[in-house]
Amino acid sequence: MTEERRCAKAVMMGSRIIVWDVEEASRLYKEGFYGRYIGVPKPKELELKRPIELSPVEALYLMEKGRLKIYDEEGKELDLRTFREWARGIYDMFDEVYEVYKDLRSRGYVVRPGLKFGTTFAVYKYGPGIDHAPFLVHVMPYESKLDPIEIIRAGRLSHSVRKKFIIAVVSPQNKEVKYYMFRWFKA
Amino acid sequence: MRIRNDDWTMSTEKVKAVIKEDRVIIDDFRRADEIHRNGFYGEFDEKGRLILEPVEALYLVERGRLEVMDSQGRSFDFTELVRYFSKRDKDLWVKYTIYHDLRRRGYIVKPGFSRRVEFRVYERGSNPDREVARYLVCGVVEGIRVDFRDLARMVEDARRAKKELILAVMDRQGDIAYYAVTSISL
Repeated sequence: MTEERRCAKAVMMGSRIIVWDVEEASRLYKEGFYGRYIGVPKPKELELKRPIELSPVEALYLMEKGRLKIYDEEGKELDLRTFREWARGIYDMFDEVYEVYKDLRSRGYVVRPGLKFGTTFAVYKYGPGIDHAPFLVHVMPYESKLDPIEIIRAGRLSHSVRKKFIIAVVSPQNKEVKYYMFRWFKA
Repeated sequence: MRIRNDDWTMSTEKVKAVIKEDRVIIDDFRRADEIHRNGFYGEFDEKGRLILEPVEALYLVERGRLEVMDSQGRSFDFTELVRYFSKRDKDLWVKYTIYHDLRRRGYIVKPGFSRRVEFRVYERGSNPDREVARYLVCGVVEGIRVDFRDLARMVEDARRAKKELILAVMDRQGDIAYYAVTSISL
């Protein structure tokens, strides 16, 4: 398999990013749980003959890895800078969220959206459907301050869904990601 | 929840103490020792006097164990004492609320070393004269956001002191919930 074949092609549809080619799509999903099969929220099998939709952080990550090329609706290829600019415009705190995504992926974790748990990411050691206890990572801007109510929410949430709840902040100086875990303490 | 009922078999008479700036001092060594041994309040100075922090003095006054006077022998009641210390420390009431809550739950509580709302907290039944505190409890208050730099400092202080960091989150009515915080590397 050549590098050329491993580079998938995605097309931007409005603010969504779709890999239409079903072979490329299932390869991305299978190799690292990238994207989501369109219309299939919880796939029973790794390989489905369906296109996938990628989140902006996934798309940029794959682009940086040379595994994805992104085209606009007119068929023009986007470079990294243009895509990042665009992503900043449609996703709040894109840079911080991306740093955390990249950090977790580089440590070998499978990083999926955590929206249904109420967090930025749900993080798996092996992948959804394989390990059932992801930990939840919520990205917060470093310059914002932590509202004590967030601490309570963090502790409550982790307690109720029985998952580790982690707040991630990116240091503005060196882009280092710090992870803080909160859990309810029975005094 | 466990409510501690200290056993005052030694004496029912209030111990007399004198206020000096932001400390309360017990001169009588025998009485001081009695206070110190029953809950490890205060620290002895080199002259054998027991020096109490404001929160400790308030707690003992509230429990009817201590009578605090100024140098003229005029006695302070609990509210006067709160007012007196609050003038010197704007966080006094927050500190006292958390201190009181932890003591009431049976922990042995010592003031922290930093300027924030902070306590060193020992497991129930331990001896602070011989053991180290297991927890570093820092107070945060609803409505006041915590800077991530400050959080990082708390985590770092606790790590260096080999203690568990606990945030005492206080709501606007003084209710407290406790949360353990750890900095983790994934």
